Amino acid sequence: MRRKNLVVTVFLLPAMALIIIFKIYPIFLGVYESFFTYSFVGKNTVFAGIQNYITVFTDSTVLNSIKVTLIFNVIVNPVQIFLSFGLALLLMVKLRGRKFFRTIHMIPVAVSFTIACTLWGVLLSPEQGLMNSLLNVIGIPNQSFLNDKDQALAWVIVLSSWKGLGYWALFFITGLEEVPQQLYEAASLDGANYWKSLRWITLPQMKRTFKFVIISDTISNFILFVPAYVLTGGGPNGATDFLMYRIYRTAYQYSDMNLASAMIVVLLIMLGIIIGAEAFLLRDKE
Amino acid sequence: MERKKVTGKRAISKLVLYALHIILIIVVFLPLIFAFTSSFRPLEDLYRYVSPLTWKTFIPIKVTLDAYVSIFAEGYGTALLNSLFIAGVTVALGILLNGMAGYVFAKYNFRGKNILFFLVLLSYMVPFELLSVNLYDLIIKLDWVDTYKALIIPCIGNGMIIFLFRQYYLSFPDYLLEAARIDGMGHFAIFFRIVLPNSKAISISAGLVLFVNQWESFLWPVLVTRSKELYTVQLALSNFSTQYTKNWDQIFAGSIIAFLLPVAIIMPLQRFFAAGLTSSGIKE
Repeated sequence: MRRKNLVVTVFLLPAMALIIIFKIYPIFLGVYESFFTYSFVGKNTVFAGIQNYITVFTDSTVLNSIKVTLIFNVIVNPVQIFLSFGLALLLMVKLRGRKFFRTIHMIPVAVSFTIACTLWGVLLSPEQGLMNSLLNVIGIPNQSFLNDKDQALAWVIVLSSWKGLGYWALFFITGLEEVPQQLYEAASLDGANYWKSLRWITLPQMKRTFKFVIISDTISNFILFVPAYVLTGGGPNGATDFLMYRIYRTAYQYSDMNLASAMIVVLLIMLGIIIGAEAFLLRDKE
Repeated sequence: MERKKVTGKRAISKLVLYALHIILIIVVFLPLIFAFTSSFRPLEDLYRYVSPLTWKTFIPIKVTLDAYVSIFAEGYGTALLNSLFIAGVTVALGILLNGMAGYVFAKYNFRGKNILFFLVLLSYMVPFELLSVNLYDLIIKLDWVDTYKALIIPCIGNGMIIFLFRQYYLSFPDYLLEAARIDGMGHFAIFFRIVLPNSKAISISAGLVLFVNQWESFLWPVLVTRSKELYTVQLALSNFSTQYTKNWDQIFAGSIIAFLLPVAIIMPLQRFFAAGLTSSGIKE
């Protein structure tokens, strides 16, 4: 019995200590710090009540980055889900060379966001990038892409979708492979075509996978940081000033850890509400 | 007659499917192929042939390794070694420590188990990026800024990996453990001699996920590193694009290396990688 307790302690302690110190403690530290502010008069930190939260909801820069993050998510999540599910369906079709196509689409999964951004930065170079050359071929004049405040967010959506395509398709493929084959066989005996089977068998069977991918995709797009850091600096004119990037700048460049903490708490709550709504809409109805 | 129609229809739909495949592959791979071929050409050629669009845009006429030589001269090699070292240590310790925790959560009952497991899930659900700003505060207090410790230690304990191991060990046959116990094996011997050797697939999956997490990590190294000697691959890469916006050949060469290295590791083990990513979340 004592030996058992020893085992539990020894096996659990290292990982749990690491998680509590480096993952759990910072969460609570963030909530705590969001209620304080640095006083330049007394050169110390003083209790500030909800002052930081008021700033979050009144400061026009912060409000803009909340808006940018929400608009980005409303567009990029459905686009990514739709495209990657489409790719997964395509890769499930029994076709000569299917294995080859699957392997090929695994390769870009190893592209990191930093690589995606640096590469697309060059492709979208306003003066003489590859994208402009391609557009010229179909008669469209040179564009300034990321330097254009009306286009920048759209191009971040394009490059994020490009980056996420294979990754999210991976989850859909795993889900599709677990749909029992007999269901399709029975449906085709009943005369259902591909689209009917997709609607009445695949989609209902894939509900859990969709739930997982939609929620994970929402999380990763809500905390998107790299494109703003590497490509746009949040510009032009705040068009790509994602909330996570604003948090980073508030904490790091303006050294206002307290306001940054309040922004993190707000982001976390927003994320919680949205994920909760997604989980509710995709709940198992028994 | 009827039969011919059906096969004709099938041939057309096959054609459409192949066309779709080819379009998709072009869209997905065009940036990568352009980067690959461009990384081997002299910078002047790169600019000269990018527009207007011809075959010369993609096929180098003169081949050179200048870009690769120059990025290594500017410390890209150090960044590669740093990333490999950081990822390697994280993988080794991450598999062992999270694996042990996952095993205990699956096979033992003890007081406080539910609370501890709730903490594991909480750490899994709050994205690392979101807590990293306040974690950075802690790193400053520990005086770990600009050290390997800061880049490695906070990333070892991982709720997702504990969860992954726990799921696996829940279905680990009890009779194997029981048999070992009857043979007089202690708890520790059972774990290290029976359980761990039978956890190869799950360990590879977990290791790949940990490796890719560390390899692609960006915000955290941005926060805790100062000196160039500690730059990771992604940091060094982003530096090419902000510092020398015009040196496209360096950006391409750096991207290709930062991309191909994990490809070389993941591709032979792709089955495990996919399993590691997908089995953690969907099942529950």
